[in-house]
Formats: sequence, structure tokens, C-alpha cells
Amino acid sequence: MLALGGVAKYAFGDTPVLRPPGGQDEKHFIATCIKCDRCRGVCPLNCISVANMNDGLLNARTPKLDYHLGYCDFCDLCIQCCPTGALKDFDPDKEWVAPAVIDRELCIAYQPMGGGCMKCIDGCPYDAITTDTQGRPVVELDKCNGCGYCEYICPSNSYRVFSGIRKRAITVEADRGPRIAGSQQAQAGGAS
Amino acid sequence: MKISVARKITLTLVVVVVLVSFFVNVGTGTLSSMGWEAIAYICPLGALETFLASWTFVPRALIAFILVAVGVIVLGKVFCAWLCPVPPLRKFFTFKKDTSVDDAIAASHKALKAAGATEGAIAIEGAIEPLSAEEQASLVGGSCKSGCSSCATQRKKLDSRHLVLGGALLSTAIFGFPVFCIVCPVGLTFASLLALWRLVGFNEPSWALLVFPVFLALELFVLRKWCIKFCPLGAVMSLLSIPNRLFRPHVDTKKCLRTQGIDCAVCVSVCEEELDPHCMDGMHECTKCGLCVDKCPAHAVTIPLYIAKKKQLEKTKTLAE
Repeated sequence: MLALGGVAKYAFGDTPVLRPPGGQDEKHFIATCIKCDRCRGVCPLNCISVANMNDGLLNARTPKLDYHLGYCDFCDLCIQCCPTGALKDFDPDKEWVAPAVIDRELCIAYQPMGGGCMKCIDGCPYDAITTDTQGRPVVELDKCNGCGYCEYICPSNSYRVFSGIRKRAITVEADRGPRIAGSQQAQAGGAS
Repeated sequence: MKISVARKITLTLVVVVVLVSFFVNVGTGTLSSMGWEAIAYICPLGALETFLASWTFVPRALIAFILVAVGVIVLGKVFCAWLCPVPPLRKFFTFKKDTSVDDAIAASHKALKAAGATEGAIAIEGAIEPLSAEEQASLVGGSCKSGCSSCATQRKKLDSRHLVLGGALLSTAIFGFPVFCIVCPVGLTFASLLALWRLVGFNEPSWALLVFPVFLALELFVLRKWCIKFCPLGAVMSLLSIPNRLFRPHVDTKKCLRTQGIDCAVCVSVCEEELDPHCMDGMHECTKCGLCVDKCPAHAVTIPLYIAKKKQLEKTKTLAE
């Protein structure tokens, strides 16, 4: 058992996994999640998927968000269901699951010929995606809470030439640290 | 209805509920935690591990854990026989059936027949010696003071399972995550089902589909006797069920063949926990599986709600007179 604990923790490096809302404190989350499958099962929008062996032995069977299947409307059902408190109370106005990040290589609007795609800009429920001077999407980090709606509707894999990758042009990426109000504006400015 | 049939129905219901929760967004969960919104059963070992790993005692988990603990104290190790999918899984995938139990039952039926024809004690060929008068006396006493042959391998309160439990909890405290959950055969059973569902329903192939069943098979078939030698979940339940007094199997000594001198030990050989319902020592390990009730050739074993030890002794005393 001791060996198993050590091996699981250190030999199979754990990749950052996008957790359901309230599970952003990874140390607390991994200490308390008993892999019971209730949060995945209850999610009405099906955005909670299950991590598998590719995410590391430690993460296997734990919940992870998959915004290809749905987005999060912060209904809190997963938090209500979690029997061990691995998912804590979550405030979508102050915290984030993780910020959305635009991949300019993949984004239709960022292509040299200009794509004019406005899907995520129009779709964002929190008005967290604005346009730059050339009408391309920019994520406002102080408004984004990582609900994943932009990733859910992003058509980059459908409209562009099939490149064999699953990743979409705008993704909510794990391991970007906690949301700190105020300091995000500068970061957003730097990115655009 | 036979108790074993009732058990099969119960477990099937649980598996159906889990499978339904794969398809419908109800979030009833698996045997790690099963329930409706905030009201849920929680795996007592999982709960203990989260307490040790995080050093936080979330009220919800703590309350659920205490309720489960009370349940185990009242009902004993019922989880092991009625809810755990591991023993049926092992039985299902064991193609070479063990015939020793059937042989014992057949021998007892034969002896029963023979006893009907010729009165008195009968020794069966190839079986153990019939009980001496002294051993019979100790049997009806309800407690093994003069180690009879059937209780020779009496189970101790602490064994290798508790060692595994200690290791799991220590490892959990050191590394800060529920270590046993990774390899828990109960969890892996449902994880394998889920992996299959994710492959079929969501086109999500993963190594889990291969790794989980292999882990499970290792535990079931390499670490044979998983339940009574290794399972730390069973160890938690066995510790909690020490005060359990309800639903303990009771032998009607008037009917029991053994007390009449016939060398029948069917109840002992069918018991997966290696207990003897004649003997109350170690009876907290009883999973209330009812095999001794179902298989007793003389229908002498019952599982009453509660029988006071005193009453039991009185009963056997009047019988002796």
C-alpha cells in the first residue's frame, strides 16, 4: 500500500486536469475525491467527463471537464452531490474554473486571410470575449470564469481543414492559477 | 425465498441503478457513494481516507460516515454479502467450480438418510471423526471453550486485512490522497463498466478499459481469498461490526445433525467467512449471506433478528435435560 501510494504519486506524473467548479484547489481535491462518479452523473449539461489512465494513475477515474460535450452553467448540482467536499462552494463572479485561451494558429478569425468568425464573441454568456482593432476575439480575463461555452461552440475543427487534432481554437486550460481580480486586466492586455 | 436469491436481486438492483445513472443525469453514483443530492451513503474506508489525506472533516462526509458506521454496528458486515460485487464477480469468472462444498452437502444428506434407517451416530467414510460427548456439550453451549474439530481454525479479531488497512491509511496520510481507492476492486468494477460506457457512448477509448479489468483480475484471481485475507474495506466493517448482535445465525440444536452425533459440517464448509454458526466467537465477521441457512440439510439454521445469549443458553439447557 505504501509502495502503491508512492508509485501513484511520483512515478506516474500527474498532468493538470480541468476540475469541475469548486475543485480548483488541486491538493485538496485529490486528497478528498473518492472517485464515486456522482458529479459526472448529475451534470445536466454533460460537461463533466472522467479522467483516464492518460491523465496519470493518480487522476484516473476522477472527474474532469470536457467542454466538447457541454459547458458549465454553474448550477452547483455537482457541488451539492459531492459527498466528501472535494468540490467546494464556487462563486462564478469571483472565481474561475480556469481562463479561456485562444490559439491563434487554430482560430479562424486570426487567419491571415481573415475569417470573420464571431461565434465565441457573440456566444459568451459573461461578455468576457471582446474584439481587438481587427475584429479578432480577445479574452477579458477579469470577466472570464471558464464556463467553457466558447470552447463548446468553437467551430475551428469543423470549418477549417481537418488537421487530425481534437483541440479547438479557444480552450479553457487547467493549471493557470487562481483568479485574482484586478491583476488580470494587465495580463489580458499583454496577451492581445 | 432463499436468502441467496434475495441477495442476487439486491445486487442486481444496485448495478441497475448505477447503469441508469450512466445514461440519465441523476447522479446516484456508485458504491463509493450512492444517494440523492446531499443525502448519500458513503464508503466508510473512502471517508476515513479523505479525513486522513486532507486533515479536514467536512461535516457532510463526517455525518455520512457516522451514519454508515452505526448501520454497520446494527446490521453487521451486510455490505460484503449483499452489496459488494466482488464475490459474485469472482464466482462468475471461476470456470472450474469447487465441488468440495457440494460433496459435503451430499455426504450429509446421505448421513441423514442413513440415520433415519439406523438410529444413533454414523461415521461417514473419509470424513472427520464424529463429535465426542464433550465436544457436543461445548457446541450447545454456544461458545467454543474446548476447541472442537470444526472450530479448529477460529478467526482472530485482527488479521492480515487489518494490516492492509493500516498500510492503506498510513500511505494515505503520508501521500495525501486516498491510496486504496486507486485499486479498490469495488471501485474498479464500476470504473470498468464506466470505461466501457464511455467507449460505446462517447467514443472515448482509453487504457483504463484494459488496465482496470487487469487490476481487478489480479485481485480476484491472484490474491485469492481477497475478502478474508486482504480487503481493507472488509477490515473496517469487521472492526465496526464487533458490537453487532442483530441477525446472527442461530442453530436449532433440536434439528442440527451434528448435535445428534452425525458428522455434518455443511454450514461450516459453505461459509465464505470460515465461521461456524454453532460458535459465537468471531461471529461479528458474519456477512448475513444466509448460505448456512439455505444449505443446512436439516433446516436447523435461521437468522433471527435477535436472540439473547441468556435465552439461547436456557434453551440448550432444557434440551440437555
